Amino acid sequence: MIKDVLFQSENYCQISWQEVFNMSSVAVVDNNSFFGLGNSKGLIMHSENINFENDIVLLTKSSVTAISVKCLKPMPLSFLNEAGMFLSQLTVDVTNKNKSNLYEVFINKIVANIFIACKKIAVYTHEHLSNRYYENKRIVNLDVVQSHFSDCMIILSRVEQLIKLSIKTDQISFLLKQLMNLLVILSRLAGARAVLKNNAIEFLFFIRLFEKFIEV
Amino acid sequence: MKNDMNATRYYGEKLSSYAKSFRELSFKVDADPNIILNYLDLPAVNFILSDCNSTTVERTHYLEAFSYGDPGVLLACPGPSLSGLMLRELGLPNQIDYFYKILQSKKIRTFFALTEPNKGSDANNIQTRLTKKNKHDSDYFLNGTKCFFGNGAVGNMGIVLARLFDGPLGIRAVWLTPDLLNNNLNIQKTSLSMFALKSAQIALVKFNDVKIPESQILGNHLSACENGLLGIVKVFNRLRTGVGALAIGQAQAVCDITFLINKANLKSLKSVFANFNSLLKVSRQMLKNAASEVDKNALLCRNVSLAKANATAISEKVISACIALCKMDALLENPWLLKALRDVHCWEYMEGTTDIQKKQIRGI
Repeated sequence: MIKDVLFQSENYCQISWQEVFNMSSVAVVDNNSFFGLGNSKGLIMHSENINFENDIVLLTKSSVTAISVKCLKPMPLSFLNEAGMFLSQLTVDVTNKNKSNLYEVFINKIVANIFIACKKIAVYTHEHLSNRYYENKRIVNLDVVQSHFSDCMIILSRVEQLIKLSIKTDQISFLLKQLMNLLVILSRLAGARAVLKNNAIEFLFFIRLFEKFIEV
Repeated sequence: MKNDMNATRYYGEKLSSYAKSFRELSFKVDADPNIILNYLDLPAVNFILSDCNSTTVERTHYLEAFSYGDPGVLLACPGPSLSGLMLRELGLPNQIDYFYKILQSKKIRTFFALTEPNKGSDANNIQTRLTKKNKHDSDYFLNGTKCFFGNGAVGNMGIVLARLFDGPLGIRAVWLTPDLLNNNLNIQKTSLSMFALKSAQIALVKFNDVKIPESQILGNHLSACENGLLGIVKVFNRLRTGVGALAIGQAQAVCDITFLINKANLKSLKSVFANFNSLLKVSRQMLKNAASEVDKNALLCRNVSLAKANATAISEKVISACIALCKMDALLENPWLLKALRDVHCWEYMEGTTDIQKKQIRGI
């Protein structure tokens, strides 16, 4: 029954923040490690609930280190947790243990993965509207829709070029804002389907939160 | 949490107290929308249930106040929704009385089913059909699928738009009462998994040969013109400013909370908040003017579309700018702001996206 309301595209796929975060963490830590990203205020972002038996590999701007999860105070926010974003407050000081550039590697990876996910959304939204009609015309061929997709193409090309040039830390916010603008357009094109779980609106929200999280 | 709500200056004491009761329930209802059924004695809920004759101006005003409290709680609440407006537009006096009598005595949720999986909200191209098995029968049979409408799987009463014959005059509003809906094996319903504005509980419902007595087809006493697409257009025009009001109420609340969070830096941010408040005030006035116009002539759509499109855009702009003024720790201390950030884009999809409103504004 649910398939009646899914996107009409063979390339449709659910987009999950948790997956993007986990895929990006593989670039910096062992696949089986419990990974957390720390910000300058001692907040930790992780994609799984805390398991008190494991240590967490904590990546901050200046260091990477394994610490006991007992040093984390979870901040339960059910609507974030349900979608795979967990936040905790660090209760000890862990600065400058092992200097590394892995923070930049991770941030680059996550931006690249967000970009890939946005491209997927653009593709399936375009296909969906190619399969639907308004007044006997394919929706994708309506002038207003073409104009929106042209805007999407411009943003995607711009971001792709910036990613190719290798991302600098001070460009992250700009890049994320570009991708958020893209998701706003795509979600409008998709209509109410974008509000469903694991679609554009959810992804947009988590990118916003991530941008806020890494803000200095 | 900066929860010392001061909405009285916008909405007066009574509505402000209702808004406050909604804010207090916001996270409980977000986690489980059905929990609202434990709060049916709230004065705010009774206020919504008792609205059987509000003007568009009045409704626009109180919906903004409720959204200032929490739009999710409002959408989860029992109440007449769009169905009540449709009954008031197309129903006979005894049908209207019966609708409100059931609503108020049973305190039930209602729905309004227009959107379809293949045709979206294009009322001109509704595919759900009302047919007779035999032309001498008095009963009709309803077949089709509706989706993306609030409380569809949990509502006990509602309206389904269906086609009696081809063309814009062939659209009819079918009134499904609890006795037709409850335990009807010919109706399959499911709430869809949502991330934002979860308590709206948008649904997917399939009608397979659902027997509909002729008396449940609204507007039989009206001309073919009045009970077809025209009736729907009037109802939507009467509701659009309400959706705009939901957007503005939420944005005003976010603005006020952010103001309190930034109290220490107010010197540098004074003009920023003054601008936000001006935008919200202007948007509120545009909604009020459009609502007033529609109260006089429900077929005037230009200004309601304009006011709704403006309200959703301003709401997104103000909420986004307010969030930008808050640090992450402030957002975590005030999670209602995060919830607003999550939900703000939903207004765009209710009662027509901005592209559709622009068509109305251009007069196409």
